[in-house]
Amino acid sequence: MQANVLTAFIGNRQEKIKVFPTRKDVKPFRLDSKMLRRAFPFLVASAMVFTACSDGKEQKSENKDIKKDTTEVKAQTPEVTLEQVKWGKIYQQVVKQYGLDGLHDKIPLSVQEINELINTPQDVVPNDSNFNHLPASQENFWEIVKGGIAVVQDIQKDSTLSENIKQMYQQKTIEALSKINKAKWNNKEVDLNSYNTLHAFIFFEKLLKYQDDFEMIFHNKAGWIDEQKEFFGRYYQDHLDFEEQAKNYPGIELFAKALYANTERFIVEAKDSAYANALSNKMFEEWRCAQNISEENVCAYTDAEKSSYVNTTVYNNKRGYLVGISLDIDPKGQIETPDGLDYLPVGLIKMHEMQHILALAAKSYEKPEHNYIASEKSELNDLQGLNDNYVELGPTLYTLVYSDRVYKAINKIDRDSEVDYGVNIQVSNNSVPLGKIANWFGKMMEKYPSKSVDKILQKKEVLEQINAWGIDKHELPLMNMNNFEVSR
Amino acid sequence: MGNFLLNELGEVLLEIQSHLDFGADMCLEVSENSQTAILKSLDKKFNIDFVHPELIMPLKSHRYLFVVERNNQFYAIKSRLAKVVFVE
Repeated sequence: MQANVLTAFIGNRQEKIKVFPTRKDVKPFRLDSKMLRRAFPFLVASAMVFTACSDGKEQKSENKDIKKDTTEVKAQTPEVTLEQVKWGKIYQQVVKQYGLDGLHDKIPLSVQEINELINTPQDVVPNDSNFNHLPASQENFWEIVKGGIAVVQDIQKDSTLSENIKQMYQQKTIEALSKINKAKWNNKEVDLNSYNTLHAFIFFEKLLKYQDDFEMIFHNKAGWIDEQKEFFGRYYQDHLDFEEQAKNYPGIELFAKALYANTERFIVEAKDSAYANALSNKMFEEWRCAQNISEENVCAYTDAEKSSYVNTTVYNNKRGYLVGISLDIDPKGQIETPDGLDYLPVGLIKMHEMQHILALAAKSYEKPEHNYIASEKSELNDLQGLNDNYVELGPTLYTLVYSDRVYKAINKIDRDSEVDYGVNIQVSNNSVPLGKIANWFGKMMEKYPSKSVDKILQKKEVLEQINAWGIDKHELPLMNMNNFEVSR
Repeated sequence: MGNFLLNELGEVLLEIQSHLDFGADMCLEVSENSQTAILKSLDKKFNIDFVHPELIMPLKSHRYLFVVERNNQFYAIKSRLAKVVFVE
């Protein structure tokens, strides 16, 4: 294997950096260190990382050698334009903000690919104009993306728009392109399952639909979460994986349904709300920071007694409308349940609803074959999405663990103790005390630490325990004989 | 594309783009006489056709290199220290 290698002296105090090619016929050349730092920030950062591994004495003698070097050589500077530097900076910010460097199986588009897309006049007129939030194929994806870029290119020529608006369009386009991922094992095709890629698709769809309607494209108000928020749909693949596995355990859906429907699981009393709200808000902030969610105010505050949509995520992914989520929370912790108004510490409500936002896909539930079907087909708006029982299981168990911790803090009870709340989750002949469930899932969260609750739920031990709580013990032999098919 | 870097303090960084299995036994074999080097990892080898004479001294002063594989111009996917060995 042949390595195409360059060598260089690089340092933060040097104005020029000497680069040594690995071919004898190419002389070393010098580069402006500022340019190199901007264009190749990672390289500089990596060089600095190594500092801790080097030997002081050797460094000193090495410095001498470098300082003595006054050889002037002709530069063969790589073509790094100012424009590339500017885009590179935005790209780097996006890669950092969206945690792309943590996705080891993904490869984002390179700066060169992004530059080419932006600088090539795009004369694509998409056939797909149904705004259905689903990249049906590679061709469909690029049709929409290139069509969106064409809109931005036209906007740059529009003399009626201000420079600020034009710049905003351009910058957001670079950001969206930077989010597009390819799978590492197939770097010729875009990964249409990546949440970052889906975010980009939604943005270009919006450009195509709303063109120069700035407000609709960059729509942003308190409690509104769309593709502009990195965390939207971050773990949706984990949730799909969990649903897939849970289908093999019939007790899981039954237990999930019974747990969520039981309003006695709200174990913290409203009389303790002042302390519980403060403590739970602190817990939420810790959780938010651990999740790397930078936005401090993600929800809109409203009153549970006046609003019909409160303490809930209202998800809009139907064709023809914007994709996004309305998140409205009652700041007092009041929640509407079938029995009337109940209380849950407000920080825990936020945590619960935010977990839904992390697990929702930033796309519609249409199928690829629906893509060119006219929007008038009403059934397209009635498509069933995720199974509500599975959707609620992770956030509900998580909220229960934290409610248990708030209750124990209020009543000065040791965190590992099992509290008898006098409440049981009843499925068929099984009856499981709420305190036992809270303690057990808290232990699972510690045993299998993950930012995604659906990943914890996928552990065999967790799947089996929840299934056991949801299955009538007398039916277990039958279940085994029939390969998990239980007749009820 | 790849870069083989030394900072002004003499720290060495070797960066490659091609897929190389990052084994625990990575090493860079440098031949001072022929001014060439081979980066070895597991059963794979990278030939570095020419090591500039000015780099020999900094390489001699380091027992290890920091080897990084990146998946584009801006960030790394994995990294490991490789032992520097001089051979005749």
